[in-house]
Amino acid sequence: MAKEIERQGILVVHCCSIVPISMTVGGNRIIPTTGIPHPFGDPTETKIKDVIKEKETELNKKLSESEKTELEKKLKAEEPERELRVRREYVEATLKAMQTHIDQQTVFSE
Amino acid sequence: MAKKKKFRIVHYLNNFFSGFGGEEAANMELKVIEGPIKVGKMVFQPALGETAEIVATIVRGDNGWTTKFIEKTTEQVISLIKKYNPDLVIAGPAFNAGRYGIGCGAIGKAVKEELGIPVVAGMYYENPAIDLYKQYSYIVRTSDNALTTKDDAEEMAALAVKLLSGQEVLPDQDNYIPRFRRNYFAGKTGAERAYEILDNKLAGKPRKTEYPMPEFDRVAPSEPIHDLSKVTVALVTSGGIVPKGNPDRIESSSAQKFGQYSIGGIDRLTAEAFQTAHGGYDPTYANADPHRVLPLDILRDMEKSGIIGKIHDLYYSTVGNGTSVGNSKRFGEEIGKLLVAAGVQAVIMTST
Repeated sequence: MAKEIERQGILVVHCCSIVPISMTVGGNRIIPTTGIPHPFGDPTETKIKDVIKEKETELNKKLSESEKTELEKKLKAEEPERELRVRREYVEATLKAMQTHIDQQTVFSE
Repeated sequence: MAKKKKFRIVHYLNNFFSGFGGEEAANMELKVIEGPIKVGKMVFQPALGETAEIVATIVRGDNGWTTKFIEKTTEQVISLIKKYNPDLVIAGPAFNAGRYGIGCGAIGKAVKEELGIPVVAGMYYENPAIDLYKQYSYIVRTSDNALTTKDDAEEMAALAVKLLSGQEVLPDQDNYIPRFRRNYFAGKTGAERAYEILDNKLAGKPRKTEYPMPEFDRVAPSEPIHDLSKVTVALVTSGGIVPKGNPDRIESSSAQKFGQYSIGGIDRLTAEAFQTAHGGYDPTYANADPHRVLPLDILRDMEKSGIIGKIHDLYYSTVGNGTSVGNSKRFGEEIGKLLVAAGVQAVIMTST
């Protein structure tokens, strides 16, 4: 769809999670997004496992069940603000791609 | 010796190919003509020889196959076909024509289900009717234009003759769209066959793929937007964000349509008013907050503060789950036309 719209002279930025698909089909400006079910989101449920692992590495010890629950609660409480921040970052990246001259397919990654 | 009985065939043609007219005749009502006409007379009948005769040609204007009329038209056509008691039906060839293709496809489905006789059609591989109807008819692959009518119709006739005489037909050898997957036991395992193909590829030897991949062309990148504060941006998504209740019934898989929805005057997409129709990803996150797929909240704030010029009042949505390349291309073409007409300069397309 992105390519057919662009064929008619409208600039398209394709925000997607599976970049190789966009590349194969022929997307020109590609922004890799946060995840398939939430391209412009950052929900707690999909990141909690990684956050726990990071914390355990940082503290060099296994977290207890109650510590894990606490961490999850904290992430959940920050979620609205965090997601708005993440969304704004990705939208800004999208707008930047819109203003960038390119000669070939380009993936605009951080 | 008794003369061998000829098989009976009914042929379906649309308004254009029957000579009644182009778009101005697209509304013409059902007509039946005794015997073959046009391509039926000039190519099919001679190619069918003594095996079969086209006993009647049924014509309907293409608009009979739009959503509003398709059920009624199908009933009428089947009724007519039954009167002629044919052994096989030929539909088209429809090449890449959308409504005509749908008509041929719908006839194929109804004939198979109600009459149990074969239908031979002819379409270009991107005809949107193929995905919908390929399993009901034998759809011969044609070009996308009527210049190849003679060759295409002769192929269709050859297939019809084989079917009528009970010969085995196969997609590859008889050039029709595979209707269903036929399993067979290959002599070697998949791994061995894959290795052979790779071996040949590395040695520069000829090899045949077991599963052809679609080829995609390239479009030159658009010139960048120089002044964001003046740009009109539209939102398009394959993530299936639709008004709650999915009023247009966009399919959760293999979408056959896209929706156009208004966000004029709407600042936020709420979970009460919107949802996703997409069946290929965990919908919990998008349903709880549609902005995770369509970032309207941030974009509206940017519009208000003058960072971007305007967000287009309409957004376009479909479901990208198992959606055919043909349909995706068609949606993109149609949406693109609408956006060009509306003066939109840029699109943010979100996929899930």
